[in-house]
Amino acid sequence: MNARRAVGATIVIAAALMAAAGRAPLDAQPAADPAIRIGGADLGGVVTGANGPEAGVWVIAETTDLPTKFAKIVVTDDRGRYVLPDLPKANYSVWVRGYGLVDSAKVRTAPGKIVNLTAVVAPSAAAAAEYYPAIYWYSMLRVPEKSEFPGTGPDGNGVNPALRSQEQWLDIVKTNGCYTCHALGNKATRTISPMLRETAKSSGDVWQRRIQSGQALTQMTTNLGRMGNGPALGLGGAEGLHAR
Amino acid sequence: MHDEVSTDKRNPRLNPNGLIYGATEESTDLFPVLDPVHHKATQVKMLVRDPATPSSKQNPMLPSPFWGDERIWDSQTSMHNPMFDEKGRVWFTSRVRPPANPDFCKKGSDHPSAKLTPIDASNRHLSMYDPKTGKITLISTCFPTHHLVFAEDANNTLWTSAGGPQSGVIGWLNRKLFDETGDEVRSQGWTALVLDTNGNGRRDEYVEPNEPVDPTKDKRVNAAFYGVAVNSNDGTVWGSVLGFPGYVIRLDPGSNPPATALAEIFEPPLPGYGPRGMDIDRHGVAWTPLASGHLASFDRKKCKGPLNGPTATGKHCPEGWTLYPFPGPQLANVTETGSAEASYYAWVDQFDTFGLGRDVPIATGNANESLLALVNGRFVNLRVPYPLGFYTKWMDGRIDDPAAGWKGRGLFATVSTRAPFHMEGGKGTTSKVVKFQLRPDPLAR
Repeated sequence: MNARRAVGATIVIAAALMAAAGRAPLDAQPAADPAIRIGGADLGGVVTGANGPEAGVWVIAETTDLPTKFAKIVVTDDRGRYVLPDLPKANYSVWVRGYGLVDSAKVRTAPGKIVNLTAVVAPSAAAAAEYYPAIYWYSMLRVPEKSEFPGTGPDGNGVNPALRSQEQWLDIVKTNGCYTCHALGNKATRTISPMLRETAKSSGDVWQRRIQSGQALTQMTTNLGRMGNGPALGLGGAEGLHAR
Repeated sequence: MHDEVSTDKRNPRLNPNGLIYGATEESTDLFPVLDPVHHKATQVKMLVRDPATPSSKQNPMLPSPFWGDERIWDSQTSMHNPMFDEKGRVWFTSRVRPPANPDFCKKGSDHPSAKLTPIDASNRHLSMYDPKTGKITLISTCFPTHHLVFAEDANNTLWTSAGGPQSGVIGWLNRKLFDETGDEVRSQGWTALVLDTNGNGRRDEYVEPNEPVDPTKDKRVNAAFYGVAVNSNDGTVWGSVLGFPGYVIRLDPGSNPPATALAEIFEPPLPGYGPRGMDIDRHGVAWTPLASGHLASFDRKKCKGPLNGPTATGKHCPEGWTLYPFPGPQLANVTETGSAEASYYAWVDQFDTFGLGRDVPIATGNANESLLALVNGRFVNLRVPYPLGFYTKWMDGRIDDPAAGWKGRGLFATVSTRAPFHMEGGKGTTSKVVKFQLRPDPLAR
């Protein structure tokens, strides 16, 4: 989790919209590093951190000038270099994101320029963890021990007696229950909104209330019931999805 | 948003640089249309045949921490998935009427499928949007629909899944016949899922799921598909079945599917369990993500024992399965292989639309906030780092220009969570289309 290298450095990800067939003009701009060749529709440069070039971090360019919001994301190479190709004509905010970092200040610019960026090391592990995908948070879920199966029901350990194994419980809290419709472990599900906090006395109460919001009340309450409300509700509160 | 479609799954050259269509499920009856060249998004209203069709707005719900008393969900059509046909028309699984089925679906009907397997209700059906004319055609199916896929056959058969296993049927539309006649009754069919338990190689009289096995008869199983795919080599239809431990089923339609279709059922071996979406590669190998935190392949060619008869009831071919643990940490208190990943669907890049090779299976990384491509036994984790919270339910790949190298091809996926306001940006954050492209090096332009 401390490695800053993100995905293979050859992946282009374009969030929202992307001009797939766009072509950049061939009027390459001069750059400090001759390997960074850009045209009038590109951005390029070097990302540098406290210890020199930052390899394997993301450079994000985003604009609201187009009819739809548009962002394009690339990864730096081993020498911290990047090229964001084929950007639609617009003004962009450009910044650096990566493991072990916090977001750099956004730079306002337009295609056709060399923009060198400075990565910002996270001041703490907790700050860095805010950028990790949900799985790292979700993995801290307090899953009932194998010995708690078969469940003994509401008058016992709270686990549904119909569940004969830990695997059956996991099937529901993962792919075929909660994760069917949304993630768990993301920011919204590891924090408690003020509204919910006001209406409940415990983390279990918060989750009992939370799963009744939205169009899927029936599915969510049913799935929690399938697991057994006691431990299922307890897992999502301060003892569960919150960082330990 | 549930899903998008950018091209014909059977031919990724269809619709180059063209519009991309989405399905909004419980959110709204307006399906989004994205122009990825000019960066414009529009909406088209999906229709229902019966104004009494229920809406998600009627669902019981308490106020939301994000939206208060505002019931932002309002969908009668419950559009679940879109799919292009070879004519550039977009087909949806969508709701066109209330669940109670018309009489031709029920007992006493002379419909070939209803005579054998009558159905009283279906909660989602089919529709088609023709971008050239703007016309929407609704099709009331007796069988419930969820996902959909076109076969590579003369009828361009549209096979559907049901979602949960409760209906116990798989349904289809003879699209050629429907195009020619517009007759939705004659053009649709469905079948029960029946195992060749007596092992004589054909479908016979069968016992129901709640009846004991009779060695002289076949056996119906209480199952229906979630994911659905067609083996291009032999026309067999494959599907995943929800439940614990869940199944993958192969259905051979035979010459008269309502009466001749025969199923084979395969259960993943522990530590694998819990399939959801499913696809198949050009070699006939099925791929499905498992709740156990694995991507699983099932290759029927590896099975050593008989594939029908009294022992072919699900556990008879563990050797056909291979489990690949997903990337990421395992859950606390869980000691088996696999990770905490809770992947929703798998899609196979049969035509190398991305650049990692033909037949590369790609799973949705719903907890990794990524796509997870399995290349030579190792995962390539294509994370979407912004906005935080990428969660998708499907993808497809399109080749816009086969002569343009990496620039001419790519994958499309959507932000598919029912709660996009859970993402970075919070309230007001809407779904998005994400395009993935694979450059030869980080400085390529």
